[in-house]
Amino acid sequence: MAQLPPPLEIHDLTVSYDRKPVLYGVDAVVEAGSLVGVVGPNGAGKSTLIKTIMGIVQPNGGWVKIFGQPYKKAVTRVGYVPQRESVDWDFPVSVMDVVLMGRYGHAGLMRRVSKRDRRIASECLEKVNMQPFSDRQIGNLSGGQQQRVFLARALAQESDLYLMDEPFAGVDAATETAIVELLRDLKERGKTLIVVHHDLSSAREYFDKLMLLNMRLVAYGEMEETFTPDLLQKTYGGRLTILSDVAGQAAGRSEFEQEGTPKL
Amino acid sequence: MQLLGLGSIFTILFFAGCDAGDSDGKLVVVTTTTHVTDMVKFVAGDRLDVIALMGPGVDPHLYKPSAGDAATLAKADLIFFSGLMLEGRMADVFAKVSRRGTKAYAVTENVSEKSLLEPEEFEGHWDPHVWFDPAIWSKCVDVVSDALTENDPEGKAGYTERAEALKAEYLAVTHWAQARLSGLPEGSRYLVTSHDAFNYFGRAFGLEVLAVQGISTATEAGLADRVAMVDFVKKHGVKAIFVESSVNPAIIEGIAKEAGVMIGGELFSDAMGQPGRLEKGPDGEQYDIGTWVGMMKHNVNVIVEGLK
Amino acid sequence: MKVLRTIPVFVLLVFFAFPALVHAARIGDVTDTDWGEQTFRFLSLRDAAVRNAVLGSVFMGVSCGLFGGYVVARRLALFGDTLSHAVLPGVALGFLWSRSKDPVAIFIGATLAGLLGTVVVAWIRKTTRVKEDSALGLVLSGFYAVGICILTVIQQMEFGNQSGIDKFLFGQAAALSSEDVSLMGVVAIGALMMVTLFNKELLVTSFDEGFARSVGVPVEFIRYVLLVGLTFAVVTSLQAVGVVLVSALLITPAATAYLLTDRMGTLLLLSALFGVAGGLLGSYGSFLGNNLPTGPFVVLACTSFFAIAFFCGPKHGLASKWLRRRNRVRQVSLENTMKAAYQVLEAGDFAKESVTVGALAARRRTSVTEARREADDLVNAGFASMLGSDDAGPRYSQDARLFLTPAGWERACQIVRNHRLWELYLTNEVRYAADHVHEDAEKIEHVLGETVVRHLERILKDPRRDPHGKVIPSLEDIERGSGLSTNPASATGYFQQN
Repeated sequence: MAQLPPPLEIHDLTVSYDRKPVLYGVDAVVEAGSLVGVVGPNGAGKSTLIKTIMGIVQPNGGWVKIFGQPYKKAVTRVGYVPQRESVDWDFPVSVMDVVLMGRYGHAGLMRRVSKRDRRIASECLEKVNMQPFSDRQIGNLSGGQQQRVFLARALAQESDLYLMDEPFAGVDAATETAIVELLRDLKERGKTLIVVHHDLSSAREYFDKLMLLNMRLVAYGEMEETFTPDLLQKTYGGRLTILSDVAGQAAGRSEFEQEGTPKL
Repeated sequence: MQLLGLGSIFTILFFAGCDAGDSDGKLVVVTTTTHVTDMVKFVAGDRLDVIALMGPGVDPHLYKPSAGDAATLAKADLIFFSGLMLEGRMADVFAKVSRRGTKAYAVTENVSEKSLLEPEEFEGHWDPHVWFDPAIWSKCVDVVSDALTENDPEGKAGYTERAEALKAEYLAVTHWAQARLSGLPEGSRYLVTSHDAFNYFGRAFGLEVLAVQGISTATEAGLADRVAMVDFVKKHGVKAIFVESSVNPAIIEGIAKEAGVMIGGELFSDAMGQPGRLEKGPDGEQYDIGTWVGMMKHNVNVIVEGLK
Repeated sequence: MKVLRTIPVFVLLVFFAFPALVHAARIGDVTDTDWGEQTFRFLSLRDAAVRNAVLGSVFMGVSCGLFGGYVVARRLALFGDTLSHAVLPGVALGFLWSRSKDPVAIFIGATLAGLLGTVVVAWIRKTTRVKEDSALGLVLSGFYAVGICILTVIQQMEFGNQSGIDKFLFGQAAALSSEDVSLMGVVAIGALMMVTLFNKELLVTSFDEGFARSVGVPVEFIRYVLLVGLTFAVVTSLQAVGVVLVSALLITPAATAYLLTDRMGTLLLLSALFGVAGGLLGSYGSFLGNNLPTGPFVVLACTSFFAIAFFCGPKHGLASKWLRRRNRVRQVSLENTMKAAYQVLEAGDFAKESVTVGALAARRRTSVTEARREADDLVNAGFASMLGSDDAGPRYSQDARLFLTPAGWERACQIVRNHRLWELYLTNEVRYAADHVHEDAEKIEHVLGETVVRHLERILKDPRRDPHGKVIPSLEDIERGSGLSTNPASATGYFQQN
């Protein structure tokens, strides 16, 4: 009996910008229902990994399969929450407009969004407590509120695999809690979540599995197995680092040092 | 080593610059518009090489000299241009060239201001389309022959002889034109064209001249102007209106359609026809539309046929 | 020589033989235009030239307005300018190919040149370090220069006059033919169709391209659709307004719309409307007088719409912001006066019913004249009435008495309550030093909303006194007080019971 293909399968993925390698030989298989945090120093290729999975960036080698298919075929099964800075906040759209965009994959080219689409969008806004702001222009919100709108949009996609790029960056405590609850809820329902995260200390709390990335995949597995000083050392400041980005290393190291010895 | 290279380059350039005169010793004369070219070629005869910058169909109001033209002008011994700001965009080049010592003559330089027309829109400037007034244009022949004599005294006899012959031709054409045009009935003596080039023609031969664009084709025809022209044509029962060879006919065509009047034909305004191209008039006479004489005959024939 | 002498005679003969008819000029100089007549004539649309200009303006307004909306929202303004200049060599080549001013040939040539320009820009960006703005500037000037060179060559040719190509630089709306207008109509309809059919795809690719790609929207295809449409709009508008001004038509109506709305759909609609209005107004304006160019008038019309929106737009306009600020300032001033009145009354244990202007002046620490003015404002606003002096001079105002109306009393209590609640909150919950809290409260008191006040009262557990020991009027006090009309004594009686 053939098993269902895993939500994400990456094989020997290599990506370079201007002949500098950003990702090198990454292999991973993510099972359904995983709540994965992706951590690594600056410039480790975390955002690039997400973008490559989605086909925004073309790999130089290797492949990515989503539920056993190339991305193009599995488009409606993947939800994406981008980094907040990548958007023009003066753009004339309302909160509802943005969340509706999550339904476009279902609506189809040249078709209007249906009443059902609107209803789903509304419900998703409810889930993130942003329903009262439906008609606000997108720039007229606080940072945390903006992040929640993006989350609502991803929810509206009704996907099975969610890719999130630093959703916790720069949000207030209330939003942070809301996001964590949302992630847990989605996981309960069998969704797979891969979340790029910037802060090592909270990663331990929020996620079940950890993917340590520093151009190469240092480790991937359950939190207890991967959150070890040894592996963290390798990721944030070891001899495996080909990149000589001193700033990145310093950032990684100071983050690590603030911790003190990680509690096991 | 570098100094040697630089030195040799400069030497070559120096000698190249010195080679202003032609290999066979003839003076090089550069002219601008077709009217000026025709006049100068006739008076000069074989004694000089004449190079024309503008050919048939070229609009001198808008003509921008290319780098090649500037080089040609630099090599010239003499330059003849129409003047009175007709070649509007070449003023800089003429100034530069005359500063370097080349003699540049406006054929209209001796025309007295009393005989010139001043258009309403450009106070302080003259209407430059003087070649349509045979009397004035004849005066210009003298300027050319005097200038040539000054620079090539040996050819004086030839120049003077040919200048007189040319003026006689002009006079003959004038008589002929008057005879033909006087035959037009009173109510149809209207000459409607694209731009206001025919004022002197109108004055010389007794026609009322009206145009959509102004003295220079660089101006834009306004919406109100176009509509006013349609009104005028209808009101005065103008029998035909005319396009010009060097100007876009779109506006006149539009007016003709709207006013229900026919287009009498193409007139030569700022440029003449192809030299050597012969045309036959309604009376069977053949003329070369690349010459002033031929141009006038062509214009008169077209106008008479259109308006009679 | 004989010939020479006869010439002047002939000139004179000519001159005298036909005396009456020396009338020559440009039509614009000999006809007079009367504004009223011209307006009527314009509106009646009975001249083909006017009809063409009007229709042309409408179509052009629609195309440029719709595409311009996306240009402005996607920050492609420089790109729009580059495109309008890059089409020039295409126009020239199209003319060369067809040897006449055939609109279709020119259209094709211009479109190809525009697309080529875009490809070159993308190529430069992709293969070198040169950034987008430099690449655009490069293509803009480079292509334009090539275009001018080709034009220079054309002017030498025998059929060069036929091009009227010089008119492409600044436009000549008076020369629009029905074929030109039909082509513009086709493009306008195409623009409408594109915006309707691809509405959401255009929206998502403009807002968040990465996300669009992730949901399977064909981002490249949409970008090309937009690009081609933009090129068509530019090319068909060249005849009317010229290469130099067409980018103004792309940007200005859309920028005006951007000042007035926060929704993309509305932006597109307004942009198209402003484009059409600008076109019509410009055509009309240029029709009123003689020798007036249409293209620049259209651009002027569009720009004046922008100026009006800039100053008077309801949300973002300068005048509106200024008015709002002035209103706020006035409101705050009234409230401060009411608060001072309350405090004076309170200082007398609410024994008296009224406040003298002199006491008000002392409390507000201003001159009597100033206090008198504030009191007058209060009266005008309906928050108080005044007795005792019709003479506004300081000697007499001193004793004039001010009675708060129910509305005034209510508002005064609210302000005082807000102030004291906030002071208490800062002192107790946030642990501000007691001497710092007053200034903060002075600012906050005017803007605390009812929800926040409820919240504060809950947090502080319905306090009765502020950090200085003064009574905090509760909501019941306020309501009760206002219900008993201008007799503050009853309200204060309630206070005193506590």
